[in-house]
Amino acid sequence: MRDKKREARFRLCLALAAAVFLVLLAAFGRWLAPYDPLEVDYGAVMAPPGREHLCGTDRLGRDIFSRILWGAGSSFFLTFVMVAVTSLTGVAVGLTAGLLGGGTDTVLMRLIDVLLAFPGSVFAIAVAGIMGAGIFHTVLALALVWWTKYARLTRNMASEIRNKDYIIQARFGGAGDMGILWRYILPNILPQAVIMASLDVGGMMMSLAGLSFLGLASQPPAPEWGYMLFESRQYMQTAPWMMIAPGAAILITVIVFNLLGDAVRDVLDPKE
Amino acid sequence: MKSKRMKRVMCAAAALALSLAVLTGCGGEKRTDESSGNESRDTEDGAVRTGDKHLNVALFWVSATLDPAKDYDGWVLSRIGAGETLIRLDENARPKPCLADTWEQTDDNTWVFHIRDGVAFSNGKAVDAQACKSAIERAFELNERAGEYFLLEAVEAEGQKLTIKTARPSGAVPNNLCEPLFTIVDTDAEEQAMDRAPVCTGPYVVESFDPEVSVKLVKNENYWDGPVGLDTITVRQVADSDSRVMAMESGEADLTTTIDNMNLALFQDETRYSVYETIGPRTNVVYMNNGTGFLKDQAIRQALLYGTDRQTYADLIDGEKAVGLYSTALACGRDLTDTYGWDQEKAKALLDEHGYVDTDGDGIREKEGQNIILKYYLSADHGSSDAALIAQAVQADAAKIGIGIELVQAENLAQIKSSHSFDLCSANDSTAPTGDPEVFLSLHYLTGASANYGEYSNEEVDRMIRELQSVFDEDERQSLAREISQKILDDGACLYISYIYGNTVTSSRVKHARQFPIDYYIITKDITIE
Amino acid sequence: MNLMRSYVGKRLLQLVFVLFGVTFLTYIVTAAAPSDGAEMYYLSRGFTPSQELLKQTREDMGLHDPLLIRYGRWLKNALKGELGVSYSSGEHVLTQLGRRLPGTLRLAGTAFVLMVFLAFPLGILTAVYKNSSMDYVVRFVTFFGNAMPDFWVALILMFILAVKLKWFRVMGTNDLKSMVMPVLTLALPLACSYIRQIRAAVLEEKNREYVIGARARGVSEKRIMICHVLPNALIPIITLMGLSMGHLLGGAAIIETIFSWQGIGSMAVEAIRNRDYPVIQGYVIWMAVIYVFVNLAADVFCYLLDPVKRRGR
Repeated sequence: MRDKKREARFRLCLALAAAVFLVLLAAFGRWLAPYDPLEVDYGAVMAPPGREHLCGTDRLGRDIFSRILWGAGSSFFLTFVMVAVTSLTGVAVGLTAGLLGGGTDTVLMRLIDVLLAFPGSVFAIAVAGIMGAGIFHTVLALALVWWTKYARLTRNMASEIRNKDYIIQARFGGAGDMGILWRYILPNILPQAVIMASLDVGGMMMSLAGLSFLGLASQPPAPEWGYMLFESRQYMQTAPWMMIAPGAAILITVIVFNLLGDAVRDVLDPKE
Repeated sequence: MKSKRMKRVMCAAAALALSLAVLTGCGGEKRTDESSGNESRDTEDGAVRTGDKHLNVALFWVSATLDPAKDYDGWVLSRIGAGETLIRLDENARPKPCLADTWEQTDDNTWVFHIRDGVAFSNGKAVDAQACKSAIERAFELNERAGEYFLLEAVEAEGQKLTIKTARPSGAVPNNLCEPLFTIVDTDAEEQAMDRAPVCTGPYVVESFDPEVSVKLVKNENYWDGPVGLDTITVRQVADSDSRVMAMESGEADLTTTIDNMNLALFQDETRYSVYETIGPRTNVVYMNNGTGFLKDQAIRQALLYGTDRQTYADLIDGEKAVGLYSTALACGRDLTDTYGWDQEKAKALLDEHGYVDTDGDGIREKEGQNIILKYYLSADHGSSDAALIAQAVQADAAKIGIGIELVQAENLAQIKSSHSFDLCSANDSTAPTGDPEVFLSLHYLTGASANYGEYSNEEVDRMIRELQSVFDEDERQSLAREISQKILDDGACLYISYIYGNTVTSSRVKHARQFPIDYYIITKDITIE
Repeated sequence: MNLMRSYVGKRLLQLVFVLFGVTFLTYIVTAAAPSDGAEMYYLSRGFTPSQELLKQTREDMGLHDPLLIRYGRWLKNALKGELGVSYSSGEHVLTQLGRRLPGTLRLAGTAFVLMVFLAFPLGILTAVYKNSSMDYVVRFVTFFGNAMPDFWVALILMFILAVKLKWFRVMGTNDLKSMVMPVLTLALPLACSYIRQIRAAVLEEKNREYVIGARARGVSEKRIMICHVLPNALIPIITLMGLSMGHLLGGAAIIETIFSWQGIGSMAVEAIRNRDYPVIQGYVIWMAVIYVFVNLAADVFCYLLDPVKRRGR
């Protein structure tokens, strides 16, 4: 058992190191980029990967490697903001519902039921479609659906804990609502929320890329991974590198964050 | 206890299997009813009916109905070789006899057509003037677009003589009657049959039709114009250009059109494929808002014209560099003077001269302290990326002369265009859908006209466009249109980027295919398979 | 059986409420749209209306009434099955949906079946033969499969299977062969994720005290597995799989667009391009309805299986 724990810790360290590396790359990658990601070069249109251009160039002769480095910044930033906002909102709403119970609980839970009735990215597609494409609307639409699962988790745990003997005893002992929240409930809920959030990073990144791919999120000429894939579609045969590089970037990022999520779960989850 | 639970698990498993069966069941049902109306599936694989000549076509669009009078559905009917009109357009976009063998104008408002003798509908019924009259009247009745081509006063039928009277003089009547909207269709057929299997006069007859999916055609045994090259045709909608490319490569399709120019390189092997390319009537254009905003000032518009390297853009998307609004497929599009050749120094000098300078050093010039940043709308088009490429290229070039451009992809481009709420806006206009220049001009460049998106206005041009209506000689029409086009260009109204090649790709065993400038025609009687 | 009936009844009641909420939310989102319905109606028909005509049309369409009244009117029609008319094609939304829905259901349904048939055996086998070479291979593959964006998988599958190997058709929608690639693209990433989840669930169950107890009592491994571990581990997975139907329906939008599949997802993407609000509305609502019912079915199914829940209520 102890070995397992140690192994999980070790994996966590490794995944964390990889994730930190990626985040640093995303944050400072633009200074490493050999070219301006927006610089059009008609002399090097669709150049294959080589010494000049590490990952080749796209239809306007822009350096794909540089675009990926720049794109990392916005992809990461958006994903983290989304995960942070949705998880915090979700936890806050869930706690409110779970602790207050009664009418508030019912109203909030029914609202969540309604939101959860929209499958997958359908709601985001519709909102982006109706309000107009653009990163803001898409993010808004995704966030609107995404927070609900945190709220559900938190609410269920909170209402379960609320009725536990030791909480009731603590109440008899004169502990206030805030005190109970801080001392007993949050410490139980936070690890679960953190696990969920770290497992969510990859999924969120893919959802955003998918909507970009449909042309619903990013606007050209912004270097965004999903949109780069969208642009590359037509040239799958004539310039496959246009498709491979951004896809691989998404793949690697999602793998690292999935590993991180798994490791976080193994370390934090008392079950294992 | 244990066995009870076991039973429950089994029960559940059975239920799961059942529900899955139901789910897939709707699929299974669908499949059978499709295969029943679908014998020629086998011919696709070349198994059944040996000796029959069968062609598989991948088209970018198969309409929701085949009724020529609905929306643009007639275009599909014409492309697949089923529908024909009184007159058709030849490879120079000039009118040529089809169902009408001669025509003449008897006065300003009257045109008389002689319907070819011996033409019959595919059901054997003879085509006379009366049949043509009801088809044309039906088009005017059902489709608002008909009125854009000319205002119909009356149609008279007498034996093989068809007389069309217009409410106003219109020199474009012969060209405009080539629009597949005016397909001669047997109006005695039931309305329902009109949607799914209209009776026309073309070399092929619709055998079965699956809306927005496929059409199956067979040879018209009653065809009037000589032998027909094929026995059966299957036309499928493959909306995505890449999928069409792959369908050609994998051999699923023998003929396709409108594939992305970059991908033509994949079909260079002449032993396997034939490629046909011709400049069509389409122009890639960026509308500039002449009415409001920064671009109201002609100097900024001129600077953008000088400052954008249109030759390079055209090369990039494999088109022909545009000069004026009409493409070189038309006589009126040739021999224009390019008033604003690529010259960034001139652009900068022009801006400096008019006091647009960058005082705060951010690389963007200002007007009265405000950065010149233009909103450039483009469609979020999922099929072709030409518009996006042009937009990004224009943006990059404009930045070099100190003009900022912000790109906005919008789905509701039509709305943005007609509400004039843009600075720049990309479009891909068919400037002479019927080979005649008039309709496009009066809709797009007449002061206050409904499609005058850029709010262009020039009294002289207005006068000339009106004059065009009552010019009847075809060559004169073209040369007047050329003059108008030059004037609009000199005013710096729009950024004309490139003329677009239309293309058709076939496998090498397909013979006598052709790329017409006007894309009403894809399948002709001549196409055959060796 | 009575318990069962009241459970289903309760769920159905809940469902009515949820559907009500779904329609209301969808309606609000549409109403908040920046474009004007009356104008879109004409523009999508390719002509620019005059101001008077617009005013008249708004009046006719009742666009001036308060939101709730409009919603009430819309809901009344919707209950009668009238979801309005598509702006762009003039077709009834319901007709259009009816035409395109089977395509999506066929795709999602087949993908679902494939996923189930991949996920359960592989998930269970890898758990049983933990740390065998097969376990490692499957884990490795699923790990990657789990992290690949589905549209990327689609592009690569298309490139390799259709273009390079020419095994499958790119065009055509009604034969089995052309279904292979979209179904694979939809099913594989999901199957990867479920294989991992099932494996984890079975392993966890295997380490429970009662299992260890049973083993100590000399119950055979096989029997423990089939009678105890699997039922307990797999019940929660079924609920999850119901949820994954949502993923399949949503993901279909991208996959259908790539493979030019005539389904409801590609219809939605087209509708978005045309700002065809009634169609988008119809799409969202139908998706939600289907999803809600699938989930209900999954829940009822689990309820049937789960003795604790049944007795507990």
